[in-house]
Amino acid sequence: MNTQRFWSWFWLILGTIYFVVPLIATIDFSLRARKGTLSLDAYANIFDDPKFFESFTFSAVTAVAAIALSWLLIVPTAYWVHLKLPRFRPVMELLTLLPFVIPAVVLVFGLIRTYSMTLLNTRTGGWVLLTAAYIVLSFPYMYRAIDTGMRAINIRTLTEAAQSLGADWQTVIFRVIFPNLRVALLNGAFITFAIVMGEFTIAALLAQPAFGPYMNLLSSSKVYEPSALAVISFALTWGAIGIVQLLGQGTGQKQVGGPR
Amino acid sequence: MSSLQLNNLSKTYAAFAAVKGVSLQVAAGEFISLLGPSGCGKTTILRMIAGFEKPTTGSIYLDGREITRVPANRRGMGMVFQSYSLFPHMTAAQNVAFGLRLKGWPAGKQQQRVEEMLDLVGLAEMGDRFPHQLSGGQQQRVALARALAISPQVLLLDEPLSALDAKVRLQLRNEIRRIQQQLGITTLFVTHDQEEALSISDRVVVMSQGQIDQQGTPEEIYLAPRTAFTASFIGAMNQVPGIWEQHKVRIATHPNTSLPDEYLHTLPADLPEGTAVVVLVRPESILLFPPDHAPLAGHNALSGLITSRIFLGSVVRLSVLVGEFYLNVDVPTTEAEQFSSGDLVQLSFPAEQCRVLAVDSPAASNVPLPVALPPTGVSED
Repeated sequence: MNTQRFWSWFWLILGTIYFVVPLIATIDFSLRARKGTLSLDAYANIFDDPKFFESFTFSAVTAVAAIALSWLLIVPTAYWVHLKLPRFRPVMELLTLLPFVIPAVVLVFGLIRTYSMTLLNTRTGGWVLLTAAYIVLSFPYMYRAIDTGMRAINIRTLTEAAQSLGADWQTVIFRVIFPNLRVALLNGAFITFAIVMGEFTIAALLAQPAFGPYMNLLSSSKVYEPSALAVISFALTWGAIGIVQLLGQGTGQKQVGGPR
Repeated sequence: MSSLQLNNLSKTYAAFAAVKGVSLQVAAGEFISLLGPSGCGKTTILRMIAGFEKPTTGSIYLDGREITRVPANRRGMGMVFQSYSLFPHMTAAQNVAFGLRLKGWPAGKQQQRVEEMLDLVGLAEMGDRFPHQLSGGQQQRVALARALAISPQVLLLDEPLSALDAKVRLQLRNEIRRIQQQLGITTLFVTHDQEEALSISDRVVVMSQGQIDQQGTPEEIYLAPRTAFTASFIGAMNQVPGIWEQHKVRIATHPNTSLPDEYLHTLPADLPEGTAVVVLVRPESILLFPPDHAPLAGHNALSGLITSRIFLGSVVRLSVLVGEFYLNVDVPTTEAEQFSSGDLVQLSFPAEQCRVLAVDSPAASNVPLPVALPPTGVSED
């Protein structure tokens, strides 16, 4: 084995240990709720808890709403920037950095101060505010995924081809652009889903019954269940990745321009 | 079949004028090529006709109806683009059916029309393939079928062959012409390839710097260029500088010696005495003889030295040094063996093959003076 090959294996094994050992430890710990034997008691306790399903469903619905609204907001924006305002792209990229720069606490208090009179008085209002905050939070990931997808297809030519065949703007966006951004949209959706499912600060400050605060509550009162919950979250994440891969297979988002 | 009329069309981007006051009449069923180098404004004109660009000034009429401000999706123009423009998520058949679906055609009629169009472009068996499963030539055929499916009033072709390899390009350009003649559809074809334009057009419009330089049938453009730009852009052209004197052109073959100037006889020109001119003569119009050959009647005769040979397939291009400038001469390959670099020869060309243009006239403003560089390329020597 030459030196280069040795170091390749060394870093691969080191990386695997770094990522896999904590996971194995978490799984192992989650199975030790019953003394002296491995059991699924911790998992059973979680699934028996109605608050688990309530908070999970709440966050999942919020994530889906945030994803749908992000698509409707960001796809036309990114499309317009690509088509008509390419010089505006650096500004958009700068805007996408803002959610990283502005701490979640600042964001949520800004939202509360601005909208508390109209929205926070009702349960639905709080949920709307939470969804809006998640759209802001996922904006960098969603925009960049869509932007990358748009760079991979010839937006201008596809648009003009559709227009010459009689398509209006709505038809162009929903029947030509959206289907060709399928993988990019799914990637953005997956990241948004993952962010929303694990988000704690904004949901807690807005006093919403989301999955993040539930996990936090559980970890402060139980021993084995938080580990089981972490494993469940991990499985859900991988399940979501699998769905993205499955839905992304066989799409035509391949070569559009250039000689063959 | 529809007629198209452009009136004083201009397009300006900030300080740059891409198109300057272009007026053009396209008859119903006519095949017109807009020919010119990159940046001459030909694609901008096509995009204004399609409705993708708004003219800064001027107007566009289709069958006598003004369409200058009509949105692109309501103009009824079929367009084939330079880059592959098929919708990647749709099969070839779905691509062709796209415009028909938008027009609300019933499914049965749509299918019939799609089959008809794919058959027209020779891809009847490939309807269920996705664009990435088709070659570049096949994709452009499907794009043509898609553009034709909606029975457009005018077909716009924006350099549709430029991304294809030479063999496919030749094949597809002949098919485009066949289909255009079969359907009798009014067609505007944008290209920078003069051979393409000359071979398939009813009329060629040569463009330079946002303006029409010359328009006419391919024969007129090739045989009787009225400007130095058209002369140099269409085919190879020798340009010999001189002075118009007594209905012929005095050329300084040896300006730095005491040798006397020579005269070239040309086609008649209405020019004042002493005008600075260029004589235009095509390489294939020049005959080569041994230096002591008796001059032919009605021909100009010059002496020269062969300096290089370039094999071009059916002809060999010889570069001949005449005094202090070079002339290109095309000799059929079968006859070229007798000429080698270093040979002294007599160049002979008839007066009726020599056109003369005044250097000061706008038409000849692009004429390089003097002509003194040998042709570039791979020499056999």
